[in-house]
Amino acid sequence: MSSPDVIDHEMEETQLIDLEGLHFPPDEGLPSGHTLPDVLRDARRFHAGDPSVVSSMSTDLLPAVMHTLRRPELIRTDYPLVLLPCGKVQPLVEFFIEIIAKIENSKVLSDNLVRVERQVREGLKTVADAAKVIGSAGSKVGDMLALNEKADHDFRTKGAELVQSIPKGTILVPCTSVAGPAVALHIIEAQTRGNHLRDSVIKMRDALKSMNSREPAVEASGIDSSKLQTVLGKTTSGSVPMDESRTKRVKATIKTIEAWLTNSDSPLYVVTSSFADDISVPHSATKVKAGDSLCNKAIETFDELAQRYAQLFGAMRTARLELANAYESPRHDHLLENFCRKCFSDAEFDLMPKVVAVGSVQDGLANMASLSTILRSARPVTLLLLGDDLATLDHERIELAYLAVAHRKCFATQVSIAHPSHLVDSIKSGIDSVRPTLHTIASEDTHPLGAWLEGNAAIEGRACPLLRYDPSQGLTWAERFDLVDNPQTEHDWPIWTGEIDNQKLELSFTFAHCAMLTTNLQQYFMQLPDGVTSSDLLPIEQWLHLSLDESATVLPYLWAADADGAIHKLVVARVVTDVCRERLDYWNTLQELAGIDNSYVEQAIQEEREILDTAFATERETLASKHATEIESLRTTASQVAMQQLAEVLLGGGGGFVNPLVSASAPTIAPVANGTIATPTEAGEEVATEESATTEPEDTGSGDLGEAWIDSPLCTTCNDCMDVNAQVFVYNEDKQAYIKDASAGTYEEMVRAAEACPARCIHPGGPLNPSEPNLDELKKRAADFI
Amino acid sequence: MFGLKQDWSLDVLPRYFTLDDYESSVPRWCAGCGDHGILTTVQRICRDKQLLPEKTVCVSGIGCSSRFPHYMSTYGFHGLHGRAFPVACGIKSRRPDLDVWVATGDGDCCSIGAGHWVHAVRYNMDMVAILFDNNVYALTKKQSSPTSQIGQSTNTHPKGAPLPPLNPSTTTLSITNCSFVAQTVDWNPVHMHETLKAAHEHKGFSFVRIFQRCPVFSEECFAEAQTDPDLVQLVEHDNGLQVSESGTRIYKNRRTHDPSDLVQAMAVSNQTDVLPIGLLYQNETMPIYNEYSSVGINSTPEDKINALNHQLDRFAI
Ligand code: SF4
Ligand code: SF4
Repeated sequence: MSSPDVIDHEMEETQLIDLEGLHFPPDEGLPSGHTLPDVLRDARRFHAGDPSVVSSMSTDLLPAVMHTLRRPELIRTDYPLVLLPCGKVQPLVEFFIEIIAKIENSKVLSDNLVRVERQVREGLKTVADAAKVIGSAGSKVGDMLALNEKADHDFRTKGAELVQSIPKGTILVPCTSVAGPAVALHIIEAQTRGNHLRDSVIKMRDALKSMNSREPAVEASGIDSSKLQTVLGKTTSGSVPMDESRTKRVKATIKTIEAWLTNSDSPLYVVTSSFADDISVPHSATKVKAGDSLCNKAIETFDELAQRYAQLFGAMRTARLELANAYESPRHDHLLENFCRKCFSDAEFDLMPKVVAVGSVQDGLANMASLSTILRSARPVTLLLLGDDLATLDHERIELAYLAVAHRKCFATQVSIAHPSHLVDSIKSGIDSVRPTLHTIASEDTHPLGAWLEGNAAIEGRACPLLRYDPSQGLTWAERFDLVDNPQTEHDWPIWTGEIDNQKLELSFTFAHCAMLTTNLQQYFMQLPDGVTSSDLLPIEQWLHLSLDESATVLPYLWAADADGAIHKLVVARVVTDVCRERLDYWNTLQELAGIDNSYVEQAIQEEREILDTAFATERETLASKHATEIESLRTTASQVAMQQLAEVLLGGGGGFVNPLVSASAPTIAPVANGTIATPTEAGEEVATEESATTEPEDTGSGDLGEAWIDSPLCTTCNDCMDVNAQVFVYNEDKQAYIKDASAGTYEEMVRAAEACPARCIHPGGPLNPSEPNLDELKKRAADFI
Repeated sequence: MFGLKQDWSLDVLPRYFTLDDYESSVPRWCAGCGDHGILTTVQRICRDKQLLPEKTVCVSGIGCSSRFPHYMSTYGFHGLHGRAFPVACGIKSRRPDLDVWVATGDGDCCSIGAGHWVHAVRYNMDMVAILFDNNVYALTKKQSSPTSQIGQSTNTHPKGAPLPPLNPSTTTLSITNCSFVAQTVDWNPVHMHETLKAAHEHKGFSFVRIFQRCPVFSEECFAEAQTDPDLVQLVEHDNGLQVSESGTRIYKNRRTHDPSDLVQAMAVSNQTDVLPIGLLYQNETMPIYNEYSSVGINSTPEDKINALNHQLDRFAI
């Protein structure tokens, strides 16, 4: 088999992939009555979209690199996500690792958590209470394993301990379209809990009130403070008696604050379009239904709140100035009278209830004007717009996140539920930025392979590249824009290298690979008979590099694997390759924005190179002509000398022949001294690799000898100590002894067991019962085993 | 791909085995016998690797150690004296999917079974061979074995064995196609665990000599080494066994040895003043005979008839 993607050249930098299980099918020749030109002719017509040539792709085909992922239920992804009440979001597997580390002697459970994890994953269809789901998955696994009595008891009691240690209110989120809003609202809601505005407002009011009641008392002391002030020459600040206008202002401020304190605002307002009406919101949130005008309703909700908070924040600023005796009427009156959201500081925006709008990308597009109003305003409203058409053939689609970036001042991302760590980071950064924020969330969840695989294929095939634009990161584009978490950002398409039947293969993952996963697009792929090779066939990633003219004569194909692991070539129809070109164009634009293969830089490099090349060429020419002149002059001199010497010889004179070229110019090259290669310094002392598995207990006061213990990893399972007292000494899960209950035996037995122990790993410590006979002698014997 | 981590597969069996699942009847070895610890270590490895009991076979010859299969709740074959290896090789040659463990003693392996031992090493079939070396025939109550020490008093040599002992490790190392030789002591379960684990992970015939205490008939052989750790030499290397410090910190006497160096492996194992423990030799490139002997095991009777007919047809007139 020879094919343009079989590597027989030096590999370019790619990532390795295990292609185990794949093979080239036996070459059974062309279908009877078909010649290679027939096959290629049909393929050409298919590629061009001739409806008379129908696709023959079998439905079990997947892109070859995805063969091992054929059974999504067996893939450990980051889902289900665990949403902890503290706001933390983590993959279930990490949550298990953290929680199991706190439960002692839980080997049977910890070894089987992978089964519990799988059971949870299979059963979880929507957001649910973690303790309940994990508890019931655990008991199902327990039933399935049918362990022996002791192991079953351990599994269930430790399982119950694990369930109990799950914080109340922890929820699990599956990889479905609910994941994006659920995660975002969870993080935002947790953040609002750190808002202690009400407490500071109450404190401020009380301080104002006490100031209000203190001032008359000062006047009652008999000191005329206005006179005193005149004497001290102070006019604008300092302790002055409350004049009427100030008293009035303070009273009004207290009134405004108290009015605000009667409010029952939620910390979070979730505005939903009809598309998102069913989403569940955190308990503390208020849902606002927006019908078809999501963005307008979001603005309205925010502005209403902002108006009320403007009164509060104005009053708070007045109060602060008053308490500091720094209120200057002419200066501050005007400012505070016109105090509105445009005057809010970031800290004040942060203290306001949060407004989050949830809808679909279509909601955003239908409300473009209001969407743009939000994005260019200073309203820190968060928009979560869900998109589900990942592998669409619509090559005129609008990239909403990309469009949002053009507003320059907002925070904008393209995230995907298939990449939860990028999603979580983006939500958190969005909150921190205190700006209007747009998260477009790729959330396809109707695909037969599941949302996770489909979403990742869309990221991998550049159908839906992740991006993040955060103006808070700095002033330059490089600081603000990033493509992190996209695979192999330096390449047009991710390239994977693996081996099939001992042949190294380079396999790309393009938009076409992503498209062939979508059932209604499979009609655009035609399977070629196995073994067909021709210079008219080219792997799609190479084909896409051809110019339109060049590509007209060649056909693009990709490798797909069937359920048995046999790989086949699929010709890709033009409707798909057109979108491939469009997606590549979009990706290349994003790359440029992120500083990868930037055309300006490349242009500059090219120009610099040309300048340098010209300079070198000129210098080379100068040197060459100088060299030629020197050679010519030496040649003339040499022939003159030769003639002269010849004449001398002929005329009977002495003297040998001297090579003027050598004597005149041969330089001497000094021998290079043998250098000594410096020995790299040692990397310091070896660091101890592992601590002893058993920790020696501290002295708890049972004599100088401490508490009895066994260095269990050294136990050789000989039973000797159990023969002495089976209540004191028992085996752990590794069948190595430990002291279960030292008080169940005598000190004499403890010492006797230590003496009997062939591994000398029993340390009898001191006696527990001070009235046991012969203690002095026993302690002496025990001292050998400290 | 797709950001998946190494442990991405959830393809696990709906079964789980505890240590108890590998335990059969209560061992009838004497109290303090080193065999108890070896048994538990093997059972722990089976549990940690979740080996299917129905796909694991323990094979033995005759001797105290050869009671091993009785105590493992797996398939077992208690063979004839010296014949553990031919049985094990027979199993592995046609059932390469099974995990094969061989328990043999210094008498069983190095005396009556020596011929089979040589060829089992050369065949290099993928199995673990554990030599329980207690320097004596213990089951038959104290006769000199090939590894008995000079001067060791036994019923066959009451005044002391006269010949220098055979060294099973140097012998194994000298056999063509040898691929794994290690030594350990039964009284250090941490070291023994790592040794047997490495042996099980090795592809090929893993020969592990365990210095095994027999407190009844050869107590004097290892008593000193047990109480004086300086008589044990820890053999270490980056490519050797990686044993935690908690199990080896008592050993001050250490030697660095590259397990790919066959000549040095001989020198290390030939020492008589210390008990060298660690990986002496490993080479995973040697041919494995069961890969050849098992070719065609999945062919159906029909396949076989067809193949026969094909051959016979060549002689048709
Ligand atoms: S006597 Fe020592 S080696 Fe034997 S079982 Fe007890 S602790 Fe383990
Ligand atoms: S006689 Fe020796 S080797 Fe045999 S079981 Fe007893 S202690 Fe172990």
